[in-house]
Amino acid sequence: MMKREFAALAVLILLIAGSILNIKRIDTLTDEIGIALCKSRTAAEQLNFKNSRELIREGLEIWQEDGTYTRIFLTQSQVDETTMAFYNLIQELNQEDLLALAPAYDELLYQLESIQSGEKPSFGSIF
Amino acid sequence: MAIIIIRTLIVYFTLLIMMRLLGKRQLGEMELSEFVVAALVADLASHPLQDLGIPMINGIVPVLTLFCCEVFISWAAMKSIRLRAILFGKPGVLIKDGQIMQQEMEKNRFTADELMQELRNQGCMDISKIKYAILETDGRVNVIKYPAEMPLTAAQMEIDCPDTGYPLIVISAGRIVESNLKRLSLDAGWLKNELQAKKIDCTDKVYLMTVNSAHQSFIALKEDAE
Repeated sequence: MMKREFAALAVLILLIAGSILNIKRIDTLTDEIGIALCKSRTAAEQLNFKNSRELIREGLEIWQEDGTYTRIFLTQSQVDETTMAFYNLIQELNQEDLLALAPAYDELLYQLESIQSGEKPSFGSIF
Repeated sequence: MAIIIIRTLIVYFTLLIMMRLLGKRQLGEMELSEFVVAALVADLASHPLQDLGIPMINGIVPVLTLFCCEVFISWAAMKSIRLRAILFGKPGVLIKDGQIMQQEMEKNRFTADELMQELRNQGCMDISKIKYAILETDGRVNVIKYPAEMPLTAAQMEIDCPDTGYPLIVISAGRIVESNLKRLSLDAGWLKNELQAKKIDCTDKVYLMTVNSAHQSFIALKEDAE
């Protein structure tokens, strides 16, 4: 192999390593938010809306702290839809309406799952 | 707006480096895999430029991946004749001994009109004078005439032709190309004498000056200096 082939091999290895790290990073991010989301949902079901709101705000902080990363690796629509889902959920929590809360929680959870699954190579995501 | 400009510059220089690393072949005659890469790269790289919602990395990563694939494919094809034949195909003989190979023409989906056009491009009007017409893997048709139809060469005439070598540019738009002067084992003193001999007082007046290995020079003056 010549220099050019070695350079291409190095770039390819770097890209593969980068994509594996990216999957791990997105897993960690969505899992962290997912945990806060589950705790918040449990608190809301126990009518502890104050705690529930705090947990969701924590989740939103985690999401916004990673703003640079998400904007580099995710599409603008994915970032916007997830941020909107956060604010929508906070709004529903402020109204303390349990019936309206369930779909708001589901929407945010769906957004996070969609981001997580979108980065992982699978038969479905490839084709 | 600023983001579009910055993105465009990044994509432009990335593509420039990629194409430079792939080699000069990409610019001229392209093999099938090279054509696929060129067509894909042009499309992939443009998306993040048109849509700011798409991360730029979505354009850069596929381009880098394609570049790596192309480098490996080219290397593997260089090493293996069989792989080369699978990937790029084999040259097809369209005319042999003045006869059109109709099966080969059909196999390559080459029409008689296209064949005639290619022959005309190469200045061949009479098929019976062609020994071989070969359809190369990059789509070009090369024509080899019967020896009797070939142009007469100096060697056939036993004429002694001096080898003057390859002419190098030593002055380009008034500027001296030092590296080429060194390659010719010449210096600024020789250049000054050569210009003075042709009544040129400074290099600024020269548009182009070439010198061959026999140190024969050609000078074209700038239009405003004449």
